[in-house]
Amino acid sequence: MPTASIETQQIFNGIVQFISYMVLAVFAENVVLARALGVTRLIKLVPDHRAQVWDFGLPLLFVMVLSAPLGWAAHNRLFPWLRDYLPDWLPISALRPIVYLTCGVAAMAVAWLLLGVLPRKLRTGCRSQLSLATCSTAILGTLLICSNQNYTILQSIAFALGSGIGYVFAVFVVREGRRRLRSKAISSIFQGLPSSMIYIGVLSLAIYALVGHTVVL
Amino acid sequence: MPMQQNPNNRRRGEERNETLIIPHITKEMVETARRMAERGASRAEIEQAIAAMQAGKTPTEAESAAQKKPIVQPQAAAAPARNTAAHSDTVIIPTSRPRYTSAERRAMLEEVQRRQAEREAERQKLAREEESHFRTYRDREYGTNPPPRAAKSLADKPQPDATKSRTIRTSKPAADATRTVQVPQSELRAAAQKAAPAPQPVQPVQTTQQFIPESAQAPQIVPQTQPKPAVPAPEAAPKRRGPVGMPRTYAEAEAVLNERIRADHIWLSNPVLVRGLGMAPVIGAALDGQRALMLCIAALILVTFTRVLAVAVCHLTKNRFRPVVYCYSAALLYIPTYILLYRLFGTDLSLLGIYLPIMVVEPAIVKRMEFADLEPVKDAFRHGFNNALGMCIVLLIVGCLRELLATGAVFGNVILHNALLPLAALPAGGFVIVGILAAVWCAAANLYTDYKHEEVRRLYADRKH
Repeated sequence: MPTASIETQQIFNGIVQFISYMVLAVFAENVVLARALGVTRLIKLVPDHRAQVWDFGLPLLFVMVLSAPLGWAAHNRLFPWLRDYLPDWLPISALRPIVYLTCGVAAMAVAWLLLGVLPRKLRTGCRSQLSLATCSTAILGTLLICSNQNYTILQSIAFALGSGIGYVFAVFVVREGRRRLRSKAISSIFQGLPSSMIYIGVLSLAIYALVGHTVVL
Repeated sequence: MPMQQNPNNRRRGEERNETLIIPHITKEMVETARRMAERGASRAEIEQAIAAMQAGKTPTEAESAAQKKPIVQPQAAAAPARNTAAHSDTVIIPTSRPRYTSAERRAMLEEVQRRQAEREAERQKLAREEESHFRTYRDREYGTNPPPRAAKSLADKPQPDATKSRTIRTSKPAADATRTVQVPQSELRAAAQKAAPAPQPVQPVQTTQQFIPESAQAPQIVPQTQPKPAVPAPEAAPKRRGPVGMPRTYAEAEAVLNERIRADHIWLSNPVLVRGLGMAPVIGAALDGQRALMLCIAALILVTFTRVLAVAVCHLTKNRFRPVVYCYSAALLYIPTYILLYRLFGTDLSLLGIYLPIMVVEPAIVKRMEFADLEPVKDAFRHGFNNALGMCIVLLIVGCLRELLATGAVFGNVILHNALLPLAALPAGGFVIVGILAAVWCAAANLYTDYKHEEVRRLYADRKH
């Protein structure tokens, strides 16, 4: 009985930790509102139809979650091994983008297969957006954040899942704001990109007022 | 002269005979009056002579009687000297209006006609000079870049659907889909249709990727009013081009202008403030001048040479696997860039955090992968360098502005002793500052593009077809 209780407690702690990191990534460390990652694609997605948003959001979620353990493995296994073979003039930091990009491409291949379970219409749309989602700054930024913060594999997956959800959440929040920003009361020079940026800034300010700290770059 | 009776003097109820006095004027009286008038006689003299003839005198007697009894004394002092020799002293010469002979009148008429002809010739000469100046300016401004390639490239790129084509802010159908500068979409489409009779099929990936602007923006944006007959039908308008490749029609000039606006990656189509690319390093990392400078050098190398390398590789791979080619080109170029920056800035490079590595997938660098048309390597270098310059300008402006607002200093040099807006150091402040900067930038760019479109419309007003 005591052994079972300890295992249950560990599982419970793990679940709580997973959820807490995920919530942290959704709100406090939102990739869009707190770090300005993926803003360009977000601005393009905001005026789109809801289905088109999911065409991009689902592949982003898949690739982000699948690349998280690969990024953890690269940070904790590949780089320590590789550091011994690199010349002095080549710092290991110079190789981070190409390694994490490779993790993302590998995750993209797996996601391409997993998207096959979706209905045909959704599958076609998602696969057409898969390469763009992989090349998003949100995915590479999330991998880099996880490595900078030395997250465990579970924390990395939770953070990546929360980042993906947070990105889609930000898209829909900004989308609702843009719908209201179509008012003619807004000056014409602020229509479009400027009003969207200011609106995201106000949302970001609300997040900071809620969290009350500065994010770690 | 016989007086006509006033009908108002008629007494009521009284019947009386009304006598209508018809003046008896014969042909001799008319000849006499004409002859006297040619001599310069006054009206009173002529009337006196006619009255004498009606009384029964001969024309000669009447003329002599009228000339012997002048009604008005001549005023020799006020009379012009030119008529004194021609007329006798009995001729009444009015002082209010000089009398001219027919020869003088003819001479005056010829003089007036000559002056009018001179004025007309001068006006036509000025008009020709002005027209020549306009043509020279027009050919210099709009005749250097031949538009067919631009229009063809526009036609090759995916077009927004018909329901969203009313929005003006998307000047370029897909490549510059996020731009906010007003360029008429219809003009682009007309020029593209005219220059590219057989547009290439659109790939489905690009169709789903294109920026779809909000329809609500359309009524708030002043559309470019264009003359209706300016854009002829594609089949009805043959390609009439000058010997040096200058545009011959209004539509061609508009296409050239739109291409020039689209190709101006520094100001009019700035990748950051107009097209919304590369926001992450500008908002997240350009917190002060030093970080902005580091990002500038990185962007200058990565944006320029990634495009060149990727285009060169795409030429080898027949333009396939573009996302992988572009991202890995940037990732490979990141290695020497990082080494260079590390030698220049040392450990300060860590201030940029994740924003330096993520530049390899920045849309400002890899945006080109979304388009199927493959540009030459030379054009890739030019476009990449211009994009990098545009991004560098915005990075420096935003970095210095945020440092000034947040700390009161620029590149560490204290200018203000109090922080005006500490929020500028946070990403939230970055969003707001970039938004306001984009509004001002786009307003200025729109003013300029409107002016240029109006200029083209006026310069090519005489060439509707």
